[in-house]
Amino acid sequence: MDLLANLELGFGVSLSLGNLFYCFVGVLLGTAIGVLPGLGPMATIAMLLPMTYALDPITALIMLAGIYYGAQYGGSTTAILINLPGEASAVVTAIDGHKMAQQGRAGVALAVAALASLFAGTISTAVIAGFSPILASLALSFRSPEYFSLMILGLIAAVILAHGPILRAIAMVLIGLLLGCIGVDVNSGVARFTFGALELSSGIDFVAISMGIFAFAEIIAHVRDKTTGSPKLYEVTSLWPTRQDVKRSAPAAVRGTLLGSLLGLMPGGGATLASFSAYSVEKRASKRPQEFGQGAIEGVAGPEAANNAAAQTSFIPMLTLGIPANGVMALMMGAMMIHNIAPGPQILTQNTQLFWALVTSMWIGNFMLIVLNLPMVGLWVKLISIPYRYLYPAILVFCVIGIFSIDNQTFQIFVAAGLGVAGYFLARLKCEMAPLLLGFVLGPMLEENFRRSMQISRGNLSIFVTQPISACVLAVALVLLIVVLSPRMRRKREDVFAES
Amino acid sequence: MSNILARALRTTDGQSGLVFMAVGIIAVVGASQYPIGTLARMGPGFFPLCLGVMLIVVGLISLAGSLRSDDVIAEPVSVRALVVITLAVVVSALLLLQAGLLVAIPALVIISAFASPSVKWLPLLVTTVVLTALAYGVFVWGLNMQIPLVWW
Repeated sequence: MDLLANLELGFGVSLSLGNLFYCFVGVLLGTAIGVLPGLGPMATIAMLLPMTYALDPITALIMLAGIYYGAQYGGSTTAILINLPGEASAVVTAIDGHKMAQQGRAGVALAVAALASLFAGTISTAVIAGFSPILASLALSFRSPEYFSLMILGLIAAVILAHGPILRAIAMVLIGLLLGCIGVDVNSGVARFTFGALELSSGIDFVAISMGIFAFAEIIAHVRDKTTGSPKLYEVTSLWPTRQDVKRSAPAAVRGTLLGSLLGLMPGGGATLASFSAYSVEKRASKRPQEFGQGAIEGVAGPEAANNAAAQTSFIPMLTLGIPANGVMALMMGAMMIHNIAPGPQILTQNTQLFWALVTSMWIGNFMLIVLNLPMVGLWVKLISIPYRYLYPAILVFCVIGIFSIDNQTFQIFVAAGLGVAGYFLARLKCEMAPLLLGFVLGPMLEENFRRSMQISRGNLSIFVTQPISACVLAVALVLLIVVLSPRMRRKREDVFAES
Repeated sequence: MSNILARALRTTDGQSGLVFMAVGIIAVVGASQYPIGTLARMGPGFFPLCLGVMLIVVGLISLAGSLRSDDVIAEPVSVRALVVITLAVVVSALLLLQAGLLVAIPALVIISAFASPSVKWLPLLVTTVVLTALAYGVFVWGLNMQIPLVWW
């Protein structure tokens, strides 16, 4: 059994003491930021990227991944207890989870959320293990036109799933792609858009842009209105679900896991989309739809399973194709590139150890999260009462030194400060930042593959539709775009995001 | 007529349309400085030129949409936070190499505190000391980074 041998190899690495420790640190930090409103996984991962320089690449990725799926747990804790979803993916959990808390069943809701997540995490780990090799072997036959089309699909999907108007999301992708052009062009050696600054010849640093648009811009926007009063907390009494609870939530968790695993795989998919879809599926599948919104346990189990499953399977396109599905994956990819690992199909063959260690660590991390979350839920909730005025200076300190540590220069700190200002104004105009980052990361690759495709075809654009795989991918992208732009879907999409 | 226009420019559609067009124009002007080449042999200017043109088009559509939009921006710009936070980051970046970590971090923390309308000095002092110690502990002691500590 190839798979068993690979899993054994993975566990061999991920169960080492050092990796266990950093996995723990990752899920611990992840839970903390999940609980804290106003500090998302994007900003945190960006903030901690520089600190992983000193670590082994495997260890660094294990920790960063832990932050991401740990945040899903933490986000649902506050969603249930105080109706304040720490993460976007926990928004639907708050609907029924918080109702359950009001009915004195907070403990049950938390336990079901955690167990559904663990179940989903286990299954989706298996999905990653089983599915990635297939996708990677398929991807080995991909050439420039296929990669170009895949990236277009990824960018279109990112546009569709962004909050707010589609047109602005398209513009943000374009701006991201343009920012990615800054620096010396690899083909001609011409320095583009550097405005004479030698420091810009290698482009805007990835860490600087993510800290600028996520950390700095968010601080500027929130420093004024973050006056947290003490929220009303509901007592956590019994954690044990009744037999009836189990009977109702188990099938919901299974459905959520399947749906989430599938949606995580799609370009542009991720935890938030998965939890929203799972909720509507549960509501439709239920024999008691009227209970939804009144504390239906399926409304907690389904979305919680789905967001965790999707958080994990969204690693698949990034790891096997080198195409990040969402903003967090773009950050993870940046982290890999900082450690000189190019994501793509060759990861499975050349970096077997890294791949399987990361996959198995997710499973271990899910177990740690259960232990971390259920017994200590009271402790986590206390974090919410930390005033923002203590939080934001700490974020600033870590960002400034973090950017400095990239090359021991201060230039990129100024770049980040500038991007923070730009990011603040763009966010004010309701422009999403995640598509911009995705564009920035994919930009150089998109251009490179476009140029290569055009060289192969001698300037004939039809190469993208005459190659079968590329044509299929573009067709999917086109269908997605048409569906979303159609007036009916447009209204529906606005409804979905209006709820959040 | 001018009323409608003025109102349109106060909507998110109108303002973001202007921003997109401005960025697009910068991109087009910048890209045209570099060799464009042909589709088969693209020069360094080709790709950014395409992006710039697309951005201008998106900006125009957005501007057109603003005439029917009623999403007027009501929220004022938080000038204070904007200026203070940016200033704090820039000053600390300037101080980092010139004066050292143990000066730059306190400067960053203290300046940034003025982003909120009321500054409480005792908690600020504690935060400054704790964060400076933390920065030293994590980056210099823990990660062994080469940062000048103080200027002498």
